[in-house]
Parts: sequence; structure tokens; C-alpha cells
Amino acid sequence: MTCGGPHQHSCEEIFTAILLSIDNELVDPVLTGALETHCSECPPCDETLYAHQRNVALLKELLGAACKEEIPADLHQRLLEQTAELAAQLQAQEVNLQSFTQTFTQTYTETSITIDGRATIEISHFQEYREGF
Amino acid sequence: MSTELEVSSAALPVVDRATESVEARRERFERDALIFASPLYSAALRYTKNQQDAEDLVQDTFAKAFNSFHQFEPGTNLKAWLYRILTTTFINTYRKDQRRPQISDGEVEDWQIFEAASHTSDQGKSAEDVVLENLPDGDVKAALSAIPEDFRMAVYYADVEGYSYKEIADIVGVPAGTVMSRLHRGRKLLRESLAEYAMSRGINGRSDSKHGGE
Repeated sequence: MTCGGPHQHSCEEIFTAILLSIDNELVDPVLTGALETHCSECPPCDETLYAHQRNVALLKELLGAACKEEIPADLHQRLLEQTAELAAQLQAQEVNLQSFTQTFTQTYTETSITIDGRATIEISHFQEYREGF
Repeated sequence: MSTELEVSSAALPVVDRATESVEARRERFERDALIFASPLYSAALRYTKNQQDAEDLVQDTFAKAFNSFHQFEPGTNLKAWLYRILTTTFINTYRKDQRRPQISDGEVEDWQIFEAASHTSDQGKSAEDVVLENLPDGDVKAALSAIPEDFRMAVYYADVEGYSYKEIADIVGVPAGTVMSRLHRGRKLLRESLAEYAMSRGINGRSDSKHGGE
């Protein structure tokens, strides 16, 4: 599948470069140069490049015109309602989490009175916050 | 496939949005994400091929997107992020036939691609171009629907959305080389599919059929 002429790069190698170039994905400067040189020497590859460029341009034009459906108005409305509902659920989760934390954070107070043998009275007062018990 | 998608989702940097109120998040979502509802709907129609499923798919996609919106890093491509959620949602929920297409999903060797596109196959295509240019939108959509999903979506993302191989690879969860071969093959299949519709309308492809679709 070559034009029979002597090329530095085979037509097979150049075909990959053609595919990359039509998608603007040909970034290797060596391969870019090779594509240019090859196509100037090889009319079939030059025609292949041109045909692919033309085809992609045609498909983009056809698909771009056909595939631009607007979202139905009622679906758009449902998306807004859904977002509001999910936001409300999220808000409720956060409120629940806050009240849960409050419920289980209590002041823990301990007072102890010790009377020793010499009738000394010692009162200790201990207070702390305990979470998650 | 699903593993690759999970890996690519997990690779998303998680932004700490702990300080953002729910109301602010909702406003940001409506402003930044919901404006892509129409293109997402268009892609959903390409995936599901019917309006009811497409609407459900879009709704599920935006529900998931809102619930993980804190994971989206502002400044990166939000539309592509939404497309990725759409794709995974479709695969997990809507694809009734879990079988992969019979056509090889792997990398296509260069020589195989080259074999498929002979030097001589493009002769005389200019005349056909004129015919295809006049196909009504309904025929174009139907021709696109007729080709296998992997190829259809590669063509959609590249030729409607203008995404690069890398961006498409991230959305559908395959290597960029696979995107390249799917795209090349998909365009070839689409071209053939379009030609069949043109044939069925008569080779002249009269422009008076322009509004005859759907």
C-alpha cells in the first residue's frame, strides 16, 4: 500500500501522523516535518491527508448542527428542584450532626469531700467537658 | 474498565470546602454546573438513544454531581468532570447490555488502521460530500446512533465537543491510544452509516429533504 517511491518514512508510519494531524495531536516536530516531506513526495498520502481533513470537517459540521438539543424546560425545572432538595438534605444532615455533638457534650462535674482522721475537711471540685460518650 | 474509571475519579484532588455553607454550594452548583445541562442532555441522548432514559440519566448525573461537588477542584474542566459522571452513571445504571461490543476494544495496530484506509478508497468523495452535507439533522442523529457506543461516543466527544484524546481518555476511562483508534474507526463507520441514509433518500440528496428528519 505504497506509491512505490523511495521514502525516508513508510506510508504506514506517515498514516499515523496523518491521523494525529487531523486532530491537532501531532506535536512531535520531527514527525511533523516527516509528514510534510513525505506528502510533498507521495501524492497518494497527500490525497489521504486531504480526504481525512475534508471528512473530519464535514462530520464536525453535520454533528455540530444535529447534536445541539436544548434541555426540555420541565427537566431543567426538575434539576433545580432536585438541587434544592439535595441541599436541604445536606443542611439537615449538618444540623443533625451539630445537635448530636451538643447532646453528647455535657459538663461533667465531680465534687468530693474527704474527711480525714484529724477532722480536716477537703473539698475538691472537678469539671471537664466530655464528648462522645 | 470500571477499575480505570474509579482510579481516574480517585485521582481527582479533593478540595477542602469545609467552610462553604450549603447555600453557597448550591448557588455555585446552579451557576457553574447547571449551565451545562443542555450539552449533558445531548450526550445522554447519544448514550441512551431515547428521550425518557436520557432525562433520567441527566437527572441522576446532576444528583451525583451535587453530592460530590466538594470533590471538584475549581479551575479544572467542570464540563468534562460532569461528562465523566454521566459516563460512569450510564455504564453502571443504564447500559442494559453489559457485554462489550464484539469489535476488538484493544489498541489497533497502525498497520491494521492503515489496511482499513486504503489509498484508493477516498477517490471521488467530493461528490458524496455534497450529498451528505444536505442530510437532515434527524438522519445524522440516526446514523450516529447506528454505530457501536464506544465509537459513537469517541466521535461525539471529539467532533461535537472538540475534546483532545487526553480529555476523552479521562472521560471514558481508556488510554489515549485507544481513543485515537476508536475515533478513526468511528468516523469511518459514521461516514458509511451517513452514506446509507443518503442512499435511501436517493443519490441526489436534495436539499428539500433538509427539514424532513424526525
